[in-house]
Amino acid sequence: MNQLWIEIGDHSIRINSQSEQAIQHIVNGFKVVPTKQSKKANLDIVIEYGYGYPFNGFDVDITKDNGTVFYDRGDYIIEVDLNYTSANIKVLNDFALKHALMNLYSVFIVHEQWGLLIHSSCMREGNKAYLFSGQSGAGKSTVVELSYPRAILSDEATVVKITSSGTKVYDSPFRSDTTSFFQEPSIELGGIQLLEQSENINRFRLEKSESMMSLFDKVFYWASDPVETKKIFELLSQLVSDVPVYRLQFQKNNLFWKEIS
Amino acid sequence: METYIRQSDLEAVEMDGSWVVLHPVDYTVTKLNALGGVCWELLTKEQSVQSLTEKIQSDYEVSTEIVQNDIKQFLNDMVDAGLVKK
Repeated sequence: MNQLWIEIGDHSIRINSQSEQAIQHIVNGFKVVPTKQSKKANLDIVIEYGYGYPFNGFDVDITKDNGTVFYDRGDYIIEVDLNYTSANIKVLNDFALKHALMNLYSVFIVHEQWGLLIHSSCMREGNKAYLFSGQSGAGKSTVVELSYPRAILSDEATVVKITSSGTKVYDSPFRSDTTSFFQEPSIELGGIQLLEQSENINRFRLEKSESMMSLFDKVFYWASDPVETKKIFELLSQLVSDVPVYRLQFQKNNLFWKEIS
Repeated sequence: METYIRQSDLEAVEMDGSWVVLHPVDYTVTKLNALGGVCWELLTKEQSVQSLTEKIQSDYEVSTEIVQNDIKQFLNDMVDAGLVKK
């Protein structure tokens, strides 16, 4: 059995697998840290290949049985205890493993009431992070391309820690088109932009209630239990109380940054 | 007379004077307008269209017909959304 320690957010995660393919996937896409003999992992994960059938859609079947929650998408299955301390992930291929890890981390951080994974891109400008979200095709990836040379903290799922004393963004391993060398420290979230492509550049601040409504469907989440869903609502409520949310109309150039910072 | 009350096990938060209500089983969120917010606050106890109308007319100058129609519509929408029960 091979073992690796990785960090996502401020969580230490211990990965065990007999699969070289799994270990390679982790090494290529995650922040691997030195083995921590004395430290307790926040989450233990065992990964196996050889499960399921080819990808057939994003729907995840969630069931509970005898102290275990199962998340089954067909090309992956996650089995995790009710305390979200120990999980088995069985996958068909690397694509399924990527999504299974995102699924597991999302439900783990909500369970812990630590934060949210938000469907968005996020860049650093100065000493703050700025998050860009919106409907599919609104321009999250375009904004990444237009933001060079700013550091990219995420291009698909932003890791957001939400506390009563502030909101921070962490360098995300859950990416689609970019890779991270995990050199970026966690950083305060300065604002959330909901994107709309336009002939003009304008930015309007949204009321908190409107912000809640707009962000609710941008959270990566697989609801297993009403109690867990209520935690999302509380985390979002805290987030929009702490961080301003704007509607950003932008052209396909980098001038929108003048409106932001 | 038919009466209405909030469903149990919901989460709701008031922000900038507007209520946002979560249905945690259906995984939906609903934002209430101003009239809806006033009714929502009253619906912690059983209310009828008549009792809601009287309470709203004690604070706002609106005709009975208009406010009753709005309240009926609001209650129907909230029942459909699973946020209020008869």
